[in-house]
Amino acid sequence: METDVEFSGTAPRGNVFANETDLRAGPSRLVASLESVKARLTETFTTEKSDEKGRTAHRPLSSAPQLEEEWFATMNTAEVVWPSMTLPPLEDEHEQFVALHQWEGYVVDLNEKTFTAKLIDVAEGGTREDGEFDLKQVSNDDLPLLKRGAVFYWSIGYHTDTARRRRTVSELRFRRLPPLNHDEIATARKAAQTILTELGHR
Amino acid sequence: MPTREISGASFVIVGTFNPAIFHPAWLAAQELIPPSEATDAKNIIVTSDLSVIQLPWVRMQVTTDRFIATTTHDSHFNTLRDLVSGAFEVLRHTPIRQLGINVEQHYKFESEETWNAFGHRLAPKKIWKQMFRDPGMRAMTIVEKAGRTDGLPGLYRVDVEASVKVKLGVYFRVNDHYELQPKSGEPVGTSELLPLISKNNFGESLKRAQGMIDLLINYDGN
Repeated sequence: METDVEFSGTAPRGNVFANETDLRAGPSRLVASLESVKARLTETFTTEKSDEKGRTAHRPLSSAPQLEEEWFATMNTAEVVWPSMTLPPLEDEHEQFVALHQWEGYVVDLNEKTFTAKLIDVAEGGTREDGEFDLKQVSNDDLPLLKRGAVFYWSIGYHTDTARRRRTVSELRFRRLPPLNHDEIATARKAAQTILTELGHR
Repeated sequence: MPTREISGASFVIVGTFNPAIFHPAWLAAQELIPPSEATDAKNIIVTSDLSVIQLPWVRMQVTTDRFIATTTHDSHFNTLRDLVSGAFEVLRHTPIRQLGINVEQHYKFESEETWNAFGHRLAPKKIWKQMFRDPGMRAMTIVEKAGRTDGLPGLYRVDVEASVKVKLGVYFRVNDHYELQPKSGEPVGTSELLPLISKNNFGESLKRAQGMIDLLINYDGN
């Protein structure tokens, strides 16, 4: 099936974005770029279209990605019984990672070169293991998160890049959560104090 | 055995959103993504009506009534959950109506024969051969009409299609759908949403989806 109009609801491709180059080029370039974005968005998110027989198909703005043929194929549906909760397509150009093995762990101890961790094998029914990792395996962005108790995900699998080349990789990624606010910290302290009191600690 | 070639997961949340807030810089400021990912984000569109963000492992698309976050890195399913959960912990007053947790997978079959046989098992061709010379299954959707097993409003839905990404491939999509509108019809806040995308519940959802796909893959017709 072919489509000459992109109905996928995904980001328009190509150089239509207001990017850093546009911003540096000044207002005229930026306005031209924004006009281009507007045109592509209108095309991409149009909700009504007619075919050569004069039939009109309506599509909710937020409906599932559909090719043109499929869109018209839905015209005979008397009632849409399912809300459009389906996905945008998995896109070819995206990088992909299929995990062969996955663990979730938390840091037990660390020194200048390595850290040790308790691991749970996600795939093998929660088997518990111990592991030691070189700090060089941790991304620079994640180093500030590397503390005792920090939770991380470790995956070994094959990574397919945008050129469809595949390689086996090991990846560590530390869990990121929004910082606690004062109320949440106060609530946690209170809960901890309650537990301490119940344990007989004064 | 068929091999899994592509594996993805997504959250689709229907409610009322302010797309303009979903910017990589905001996600980094909330410590939900590393600063370098915010800097390297591609294809960014952030307007009052639409936000599209592409990071190396996740794509987010937000309109005023829909939030979608998708990954095709199955090593990052929990990271995706952390990101979505973290974002709505911060945006805790966001009105929410529906939630879909989706798993998508493409499997490659060893041969055309086994690929066709799989389609024949799911959709026997006896009746179809009375009208077509060589009928082939292109797509099938099955919905759990009896509702969710946990008693919450919503349902499960499974789509099986010939893959358009993988040659001799079959595409599966499992949709774990929640209706979050109470009887009053008013949307709920994220206090109702967050438990559904908690680590445990999300883990159960993934497990259930994989169980459904495995059951179909291994179905021998009996």
